[in-house]
Amino acid sequence: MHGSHTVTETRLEIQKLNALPPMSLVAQELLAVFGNSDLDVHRIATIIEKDPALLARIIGLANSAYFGYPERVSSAEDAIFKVLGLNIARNLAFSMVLAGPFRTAHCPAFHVDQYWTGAMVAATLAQRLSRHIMVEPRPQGGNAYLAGLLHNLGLLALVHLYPDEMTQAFRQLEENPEQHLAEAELKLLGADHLQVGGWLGRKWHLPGFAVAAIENHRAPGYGGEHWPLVQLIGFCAQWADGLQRSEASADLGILARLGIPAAEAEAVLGEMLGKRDEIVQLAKMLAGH
Amino acid sequence: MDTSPFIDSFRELNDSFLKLIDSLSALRGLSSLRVYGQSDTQLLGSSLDVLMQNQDLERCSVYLLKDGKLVNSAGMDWVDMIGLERGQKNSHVPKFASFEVGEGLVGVAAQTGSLQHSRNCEHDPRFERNCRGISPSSMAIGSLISLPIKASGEILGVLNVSHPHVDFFTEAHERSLVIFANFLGQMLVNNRLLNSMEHLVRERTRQLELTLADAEALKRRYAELSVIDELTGLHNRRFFFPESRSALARSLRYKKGFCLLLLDIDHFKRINDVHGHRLGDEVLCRCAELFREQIREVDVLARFGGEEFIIALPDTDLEGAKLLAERVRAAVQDAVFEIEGHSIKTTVSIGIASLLETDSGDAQVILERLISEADQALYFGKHNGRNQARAYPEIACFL
Repeated sequence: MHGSHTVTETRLEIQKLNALPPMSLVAQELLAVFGNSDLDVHRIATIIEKDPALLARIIGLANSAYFGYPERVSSAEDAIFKVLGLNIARNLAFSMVLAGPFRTAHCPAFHVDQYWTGAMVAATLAQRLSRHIMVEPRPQGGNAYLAGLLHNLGLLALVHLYPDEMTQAFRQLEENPEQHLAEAELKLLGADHLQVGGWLGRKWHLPGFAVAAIENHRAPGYGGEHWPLVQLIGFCAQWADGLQRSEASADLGILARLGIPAAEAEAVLGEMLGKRDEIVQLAKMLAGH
Repeated sequence: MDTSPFIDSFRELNDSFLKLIDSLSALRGLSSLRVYGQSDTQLLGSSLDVLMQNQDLERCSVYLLKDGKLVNSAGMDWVDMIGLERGQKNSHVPKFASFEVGEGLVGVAAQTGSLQHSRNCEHDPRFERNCRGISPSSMAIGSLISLPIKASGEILGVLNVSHPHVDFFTEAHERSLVIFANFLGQMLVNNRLLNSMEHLVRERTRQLELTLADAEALKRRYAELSVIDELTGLHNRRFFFPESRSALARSLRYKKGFCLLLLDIDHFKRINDVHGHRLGDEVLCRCAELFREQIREVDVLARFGGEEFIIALPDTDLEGAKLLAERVRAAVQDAVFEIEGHSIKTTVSIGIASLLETDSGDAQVILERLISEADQALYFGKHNGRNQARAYPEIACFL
């Protein structure tokens, strides 16, 4: 039996994290690209954008006050092109690749491919639906994509730092499917992955909208500054989750509140359903299976 | 070849690089704060926010040197710095509101001017002196750095950062905190200078406004004291009364004659109406000039009101006064005023009053009577065709 942790202990551990290692396939791709003598920014950005941990760190670094870039950066390409330059981005990515594999082996209950699918489906769906949002402030497609991809960032950190506790949490979830993972985490670690993702996002200087979405996407009544984006991510996360369990369980009322016409919503969701197998396949590949 | 040492050092370098960026970000944040003109506490509060946002330092406080004591001025209370359990927190807050110079790590930092670093607070006698009798074992504090905030060699206070873990702070932390504290010291000094300068400016402005008010009052007073009529350059009533009164008193004393002429430009309102006030004013000036040319030095000439003038004639009997009055009347009648392309002619009516041989007593009373008589003579002339001089003694029987 593992002893449970207090929220302070967990927070202090999280704050020691300067970076999270990327996932195996991304690591391999990056190593292959770094071997090339002529580096292609676009190619590196594309690889980085596949990996939430790596993307979060690169974007956060570009938003550090030190670089003094006047706008918030929210894509890997902008971070590299406009702020960091290729060398810093490469060194940073490289050191993360070298930091060793992501410690998922210690936590066999964590399914990397499911994590991938969830992140990618949420990101893609959020980007497509964001175009039809009619309430202000309307999120930009790129921001919706970033927030969708990072919404479960805290989960990676918890699995990486606390493989045993998280194994226990996943097991509890299997035994008790009505429960949400966050509740199990809260009992074992004093904090859930939403809160943890928020700490990490702030420490890494992620843009405010991303931190808000990471922290609050499970709060149905959230009314903060970026509420349309946060609610959108909440819906997409639910939907992506349901997709994996082959049940459509997301609350369509959220989309209505965002002013998205039912016909548009149905069209986008139908399109995503048609691509379900494709996405799952891609996620498996990326996860290195 | 075993590459793992290279990999390790590359990783470490990258980690320091990230931390360095964080500490530089804190400095950049500090340098772009727009906090001048606020209180010390506000400035320190914003600065500590910057420190917490950019580095992993969430427990910070500042004690400022005030009257020889170190007083908690910004950031956390000491009970939060040392992680005292929630239950006993509030009652202990006042206990740590200030430290003496030389007391514990905080005090030594101020006393020596150098950074104090306790890597393991529980077994550090210096730290114990900052506990005020509370056992370190009931606290959640592992390490503490207290470092002086200095500017130009002078110690302004102490910046404290603590962490629940033992051995948390690295040399890199120490170095970046020293730079941060130096910046902070300079900002404090600048802010205080600015505040005292603003105070000085306010004080000076207040003084200046007072002086200005004084000057205004003086100006008003001098205007009241002025004895010259601004338009014609002749004397005004304020001058006329005392001057003519004393001349009259002399005439009474020496039994000499004294006459008064009251002059009024005929149909002056018509000139104003036809040619405008500016030309009317000019006509008044030209007439005043004519009057001045006719009188002696001892006579007292003044503008009495609108188009009314007055002349006091000491040592003059009624005959002499009538002669002068006639000269003045004729001069005005003959004059053609060429003003801005207009040829303007006018006439004047004159009332004459004369001191009687039997007059005696208060000069002021007699003067007022003479003015009234001259006025009646003047209006007699006005009613009888204008452009004439009339003497009160000669018309009194018609009144």
